[in-house]
Amino acid sequence: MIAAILSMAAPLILAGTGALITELAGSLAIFMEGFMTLGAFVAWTVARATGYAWAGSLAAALLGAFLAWALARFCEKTGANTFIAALALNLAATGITQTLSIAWFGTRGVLVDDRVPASTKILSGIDSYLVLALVAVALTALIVKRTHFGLRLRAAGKDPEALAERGVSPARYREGAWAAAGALAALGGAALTFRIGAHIPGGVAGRGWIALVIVYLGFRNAWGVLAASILFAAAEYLSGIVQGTGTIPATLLLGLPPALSLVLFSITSALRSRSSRH
Amino acid sequence: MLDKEKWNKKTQDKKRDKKSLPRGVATGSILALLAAVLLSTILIALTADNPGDALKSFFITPWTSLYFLGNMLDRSGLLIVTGLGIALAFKGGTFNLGGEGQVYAGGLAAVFVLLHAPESLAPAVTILVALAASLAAGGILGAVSGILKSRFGVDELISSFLISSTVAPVADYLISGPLRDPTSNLLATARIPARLLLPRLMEPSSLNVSLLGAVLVALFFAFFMVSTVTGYRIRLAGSNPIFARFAGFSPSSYWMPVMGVSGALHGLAGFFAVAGTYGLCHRGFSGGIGWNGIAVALIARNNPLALIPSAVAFAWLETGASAALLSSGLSIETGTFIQAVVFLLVTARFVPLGRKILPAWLGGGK
Repeated sequence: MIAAILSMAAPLILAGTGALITELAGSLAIFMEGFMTLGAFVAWTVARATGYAWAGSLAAALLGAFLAWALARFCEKTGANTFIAALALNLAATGITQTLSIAWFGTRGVLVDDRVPASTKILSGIDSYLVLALVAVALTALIVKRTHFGLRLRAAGKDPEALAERGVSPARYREGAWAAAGALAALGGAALTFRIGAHIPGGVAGRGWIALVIVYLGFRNAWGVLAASILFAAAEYLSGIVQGTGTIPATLLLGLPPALSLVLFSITSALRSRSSRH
Repeated sequence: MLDKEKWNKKTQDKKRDKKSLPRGVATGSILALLAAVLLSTILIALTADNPGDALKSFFITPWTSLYFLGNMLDRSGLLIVTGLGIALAFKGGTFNLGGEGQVYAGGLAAVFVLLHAPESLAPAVTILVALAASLAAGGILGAVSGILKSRFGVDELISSFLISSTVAPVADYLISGPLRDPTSNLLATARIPARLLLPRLMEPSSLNVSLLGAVLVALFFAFFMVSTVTGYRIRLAGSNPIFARFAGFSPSSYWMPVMGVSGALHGLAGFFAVAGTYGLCHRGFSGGIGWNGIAVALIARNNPLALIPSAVAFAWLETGASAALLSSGLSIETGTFIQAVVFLLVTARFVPLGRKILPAWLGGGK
């Protein structure tokens, strides 16, 4: 059971860490849902072509990083609103995956293929994406807290003017943060795909939005993101059991994750605003 | 929170130089629309079996066939109202991302009243009660985000989206379960009796009096925002919260009412869609009306009067492109592409770029 919950947490941890980095850099990227959707599809497509899950994940991460960087650069150059540009990506991601799915595989439905690996376990049965997620958390915590680079990243969010005065461009740090977030979200999407070895349209099911909530739930701290992700994964696991018993209609259960997010998000926000008032 | 105050400040700085460059402001909107038209054209030309016919049905048919024209204008009415809701929230310094759920809830409330009201009640009274129920349903959902923001500092962008994502599955469940018409194969409620429907204006299209209602509401808000003290304060609370505090009122006191009215306007769109356009409530009927409202508001730069042409243009793009692609058999979600292009380009500023590229007599090279 614990192993199942931890594997369910892996995509959330990856996306949550990515969102955390952008939040620290001063412009929360609300495009996580879109990059998870794209990542899930790209990972499946490349894994089908190559037969390797790692190749699919790598391709998804690189594409995510590049597109997110390009989007950040575009916003920086044109002064476009970052929230709305990120929203554009969320909306486009569904359309793009659907269109490519029809064009390449002739269906907009579930994609299954023998060449796509259906397990994320590596040697001795450890979930490889969980390992990746834990590494991402540890690295983020280390870099943010202990390195000069991390200090500048936080400065880009807290006081960009001061950073600029020291001759460092906050925009570069924001672009880097977005690229990292794009890559991590795409990896999260890949983890979802390889967990079952199939691509399910709409399979991301709001996890990209939950990742944003996780950032605040974890009090903008990498280890907090880890804890919050496990909490959500446990809820996901429980709702899976409830769904199995058939006492509550499956449609209704779809509303549970956002409802839980809302409650927890409100509580943490309230705590935060209270503590900042004193 | 989302460091939005900082971001707001940044956009204000930008707005300030935008004011001195009114042409640049319009450029973003026009460019976004042109790009959307171009993208639709490319999508249609690439995917349609017979591109010539498909392009004709995209560019010409909507304006020559009364049926298509009526449907398009009807859709515009819905977009005017949701766009107004988004614009109002923006003006008051908030961001309503929960439009889809608010439209859904409004429509569901309307259909519930219209199907269950006693027959002895006069039709006009029943319709008014349904209207009130829609406004309340959408308004409450919006107001909750506003209260959470002003009382507990909960970011309304995320809370409104989460509320909407919670409401949508519940509404889905009600429509496909308890409220479903068992005699029909559709995942939909029973049909609303004809005497309780909004009068149609251009049969057989779905155009009905709701378009007039939408235009009137837009005119009212255009007047309200510019000519009343409350409207002025809302604008001030949104554009310059610090100055608002100096002027003696707290900008946060407007968050709840602004989000509430924004939600109520989305509820109104749900009412119009159910009682005017569809005559019933089918699963996922609100799909796109909320997101498109954001696009329409952005194109109109949150100006209530500019919303009207903006909504017509967007409704044309949306209905025209999907109608043109209907023949190709590929049911691509053109709507999402159009939205994405508009979102990406509409807030971008191309003035410096345009100046470099355009020759002097077109306003460039200065």
